[in-house]
Amino acid sequence: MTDDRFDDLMRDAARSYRVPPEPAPLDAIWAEVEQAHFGAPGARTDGGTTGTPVRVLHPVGTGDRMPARGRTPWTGSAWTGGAWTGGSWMRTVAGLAAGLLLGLGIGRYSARGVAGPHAVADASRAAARVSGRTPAADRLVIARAVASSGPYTVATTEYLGQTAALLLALPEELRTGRADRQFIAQAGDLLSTTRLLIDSPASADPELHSLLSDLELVLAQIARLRATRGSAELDLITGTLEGRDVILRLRSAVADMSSSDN
Amino acid sequence: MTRVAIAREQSRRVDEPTLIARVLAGDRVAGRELYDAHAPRVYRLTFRLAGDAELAQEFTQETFIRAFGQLARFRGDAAFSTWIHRIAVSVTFNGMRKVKRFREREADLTEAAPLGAMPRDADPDLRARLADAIDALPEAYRTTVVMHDMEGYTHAEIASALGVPEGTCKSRLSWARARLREALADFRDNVME
Repeated sequence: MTDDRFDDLMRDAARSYRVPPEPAPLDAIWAEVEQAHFGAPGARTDGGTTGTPVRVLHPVGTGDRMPARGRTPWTGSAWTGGAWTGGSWMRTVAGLAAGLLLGLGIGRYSARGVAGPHAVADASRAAARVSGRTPAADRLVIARAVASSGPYTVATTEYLGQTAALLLALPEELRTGRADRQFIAQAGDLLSTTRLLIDSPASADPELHSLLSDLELVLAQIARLRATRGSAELDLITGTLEGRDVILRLRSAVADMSSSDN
Repeated sequence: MTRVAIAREQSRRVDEPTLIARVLAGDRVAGRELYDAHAPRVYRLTFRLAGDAELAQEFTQETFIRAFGQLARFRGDAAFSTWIHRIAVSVTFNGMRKVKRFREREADLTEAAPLGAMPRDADPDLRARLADAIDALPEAYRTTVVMHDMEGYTHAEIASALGVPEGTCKSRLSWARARLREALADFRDNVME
């Protein structure tokens, strides 16, 4: 194929490959941008912005980072095809439990179960009914409402507590083979909350954003566990937990959130 | 002419730094002006990269929400268009990765055939073959081809948006074109005549 011929083809591709629609929906996009940044039309325009809005794009699959490999295990524990081994893992977990109990009072989260994500979902559905807006706009409205009213801080604290509780229970659940559908479903719920938070103002803090990204990966891995799980799947989970110091960072975040609450 | 239209007309005459300062002060008319100046190109790019109207709309929306939210950090070292295109590319890349993971997971759960697993002999013509070949390019290379050959961005603009040296941008374009030519090699030249 000659250069000229190829150039002709590329010019043709410019006219045929994923050609944007005309007219572009720029007014509709602006309406959302304006609402998110300046507030509802008619609101003050004297410098009062509504802060960083929350946008939730699409539900996604696994996290985008694979667990670090080849690092010194944080615990020495391993999944051996039937049971967790290594006491240091449990010692670390016990330390985490103590920290959580002191700093936060994890019981209140356990008692609430997975109310957080459900509450978010319920709020989303309620807003959809009230507003009659498109699903994407509804997600934006809900996220914005959460962000502007401050409850996202509460939601983050709740979420961290629930996630810590789940990770605390994980080795025992796996050891006893009780990591059942409900447990895995709870990981799925928390995964949804993780993604909401990643796109929320809570994630403006780089450290928390990084932690949330890692938790997204861990929870996605747990949510994908199947009854006939293999050691490879469990290795992925431990690899992520160990390689990214997830537990330690989670403990630190919980302590921070707890102290800011007080 | 409405009050907003008049204000918009007046703001059209001001330079971009002034416009940005007004947006920072909460002037939504200035915000719309800044948006109008850049949104068409951003939307075209996100559409070309995403290949989906809804995604392009969301990515463009997200780009401007982020840009306005971070406007105070814009130092003016580079042009605003450069800055916002950098955000647009980042938003689109991240968004597409999430969409891809989601789609892969959905496909896995339903045990459907892998996405894009179209047999080569299913290509109806050269144009479709070229489109498939562009789709198959690695993300950074495809983006370079789309920005340069389809949307007319300069190498400097692409390099800035992708955060790579200009030379890297040129070599990527060269490599990508070579792959596309290979993909079309077995087509006769007169297919699209």
